[in-house]
Amino acid sequence: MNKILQTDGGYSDGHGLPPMSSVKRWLVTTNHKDIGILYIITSLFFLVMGGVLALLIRLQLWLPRAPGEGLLSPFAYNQSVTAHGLIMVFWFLSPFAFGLANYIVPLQIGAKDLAFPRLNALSYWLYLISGILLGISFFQGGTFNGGWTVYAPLNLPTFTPQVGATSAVLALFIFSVAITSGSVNFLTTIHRMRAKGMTLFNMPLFTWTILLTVWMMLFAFAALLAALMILSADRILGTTYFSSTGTQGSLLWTHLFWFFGHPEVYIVFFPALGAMAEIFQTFTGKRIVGRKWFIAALVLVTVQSFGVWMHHMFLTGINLEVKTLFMITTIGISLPFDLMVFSLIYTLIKGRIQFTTPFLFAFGGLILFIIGGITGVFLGAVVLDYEFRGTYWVVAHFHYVMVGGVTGLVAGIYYWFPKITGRMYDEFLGKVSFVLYFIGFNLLYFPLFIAWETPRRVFTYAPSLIPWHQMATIGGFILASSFAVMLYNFYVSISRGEESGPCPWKYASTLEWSLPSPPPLENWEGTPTYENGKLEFLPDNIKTDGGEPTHER
Amino acid sequence: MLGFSFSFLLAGSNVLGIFPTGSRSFIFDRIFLVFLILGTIVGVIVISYMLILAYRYRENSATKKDDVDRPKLGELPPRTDDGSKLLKSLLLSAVVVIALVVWTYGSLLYVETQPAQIDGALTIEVEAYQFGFLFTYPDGYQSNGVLRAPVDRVTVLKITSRDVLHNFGSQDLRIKADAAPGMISETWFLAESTGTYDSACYELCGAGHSYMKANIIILENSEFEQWNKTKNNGS
Repeated sequence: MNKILQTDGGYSDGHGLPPMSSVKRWLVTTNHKDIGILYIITSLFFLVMGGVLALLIRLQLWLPRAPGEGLLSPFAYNQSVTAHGLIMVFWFLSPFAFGLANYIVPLQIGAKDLAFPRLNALSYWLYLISGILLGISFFQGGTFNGGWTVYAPLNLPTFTPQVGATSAVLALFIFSVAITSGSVNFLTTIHRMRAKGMTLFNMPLFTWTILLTVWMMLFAFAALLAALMILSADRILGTTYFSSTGTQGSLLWTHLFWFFGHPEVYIVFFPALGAMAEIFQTFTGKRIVGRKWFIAALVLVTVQSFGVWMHHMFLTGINLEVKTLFMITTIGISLPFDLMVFSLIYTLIKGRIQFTTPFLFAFGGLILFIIGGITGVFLGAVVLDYEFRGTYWVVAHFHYVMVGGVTGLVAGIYYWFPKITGRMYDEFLGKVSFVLYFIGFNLLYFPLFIAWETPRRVFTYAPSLIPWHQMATIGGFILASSFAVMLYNFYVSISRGEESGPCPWKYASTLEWSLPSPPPLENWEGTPTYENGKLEFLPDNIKTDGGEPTHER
Repeated sequence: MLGFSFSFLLAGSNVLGIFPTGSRSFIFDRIFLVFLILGTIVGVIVISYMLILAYRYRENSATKKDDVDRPKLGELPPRTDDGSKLLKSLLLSAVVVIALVVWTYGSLLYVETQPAQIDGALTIEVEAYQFGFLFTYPDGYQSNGVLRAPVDRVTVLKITSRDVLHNFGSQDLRIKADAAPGMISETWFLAESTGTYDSACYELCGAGHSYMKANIIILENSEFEQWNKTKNNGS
């Protein structure tokens, strides 16, 4: 581990790839770190796109509106809420997390690249194409406007005849293909390409959460892909699987969608949880408390996530026995999360806590997640869920959870920024962005709990709730400004930041921090191994007893 | 399903009034209040505890903590067994959460089973469509956008949809049920005072969703009977 690799800016051996400053490099690259950067930057574009839509929604909600009043027509408003949800969940959150995962996971387990680098590039390009197609759909008579849940039969051409709606469905379809090929790639890499001595149990927690995320993706996106194939047939070929005149097409879609949709919540949240766990350990100078239980809880949630979907359907044609069963599984899945939260909190004890920007975001993210979790228990009680359904209680709750997850990922991007760029971000601007973020977030989402009786996806509401909605709108702009500060910070620091060296953090322990920043194209010379209980680099090309070179792949 | 049969036992013997029964508003308000109080207490305790720990163990604090083995670059995580405190905390939180939800389960059973047992409840069919609600009374009388019902009497609603998935709901009376095409969902309500209440669609259903509303007018029993008798003459 003492062997720090000497390279020229990390990229002396370019393997014939054009330099990073050339556009061609980014078009032809299959390197996991390059693809990671492409994912991160592309997903940030979608964050801006989804964010602008969110601000439009919040402006429309500044006052209760009569038809035609405000910035958005009813049709444009429905498109906005739909596209905002789709873009944030699909085109921003997961790809943002997988940008980090692309870059960091191979480094953490001692692999030179992902198992199938070209497939990895294909995943990225399919993702980009699907996103562009979604963007185009706005100009084809309007994009899909039936909500991110795409409920049947509103998703059929009878009710949403726009060409853009079909494009949006196809965009989702292509996105699912990209995700599925990506998950196969990560599964193979993490299960087959770890350094010697890096057992599954020994894997860093970020890699653990990514492994479990891709397992969930494999099964959840299969259900979504199937549903989207049937829906595409309905929209393009004229079949009638989800039609209202047949047998329960509406119910069929709801089951298929939520069988995907609930694991999707954890697919989105797990990488953030993993990043938070790494950051807690590094900046408290403490190993996580009850590591084995933390991992067990993650595995439990992964399995349980496929057994709770009908709690989205307590009012949708299921009987009392099934409601009871899903009430029990829903409470059951909250318990492993309790354990993980306690584990992170107890890790603070006897720490030497450094309040760096990544730690502030991780710590803040945990607070937000706790609030999201407590308000989720309300929804687990079926009698309360009946009344919360379709209201802002649900909206506020899942934004605390999902955007709480974003908070963890923002912590991650600050944490790994020095590794990816070789330079430090500006700590003062980082803290400014955290303060804006935390105030903006709570000002945006907390009033929505108070104004919970507002129905979802409408822009008429009781006049008594105006102050709360105006507060939320102001909070939305403050939250947006924190992202502006963050992006400015990164933009300036990439060229002018202080050089970070291999490891700017005092108590970092995972493999990636023993490499130069940024790491060279093939990550290291020699082969990393943990065979003797700690990280060592074996020289390249030595013969082992089998007579084979110890090359990866 | 031990918990299930146990809870049925519970529903049959609610003599002590352990869980709320009555109108839907009463049940919801009572349970919501208890959850709010407990949720706030738990949230405040947990978050304060986090903040106190973060302050106490800040890097520059005077507290002695040099006896701790810090993580080192390139180490493998040591196999330690420090989970007992964790598991105790988990047990505590599990008891609180499970107790709360089991408590509400009695009310759920009441909500799900009671209206079926009431003789002579008024049954009204609700058909949702893009973008409104059509109410049909037992004698075939239809009313668009206005539902009239008597006070202090259970009204059963059988809800369906003509086109896409809607959801008929009223925050004032704590009614909510999906309106799905080809299916009938049943729910009920009991209004405790007369007046005009709002109801609306709670599932995105198309361009007119924001304005898909109906009024619920709750009348005195005698007034309602009067109206009920004459409603077919007027139009």
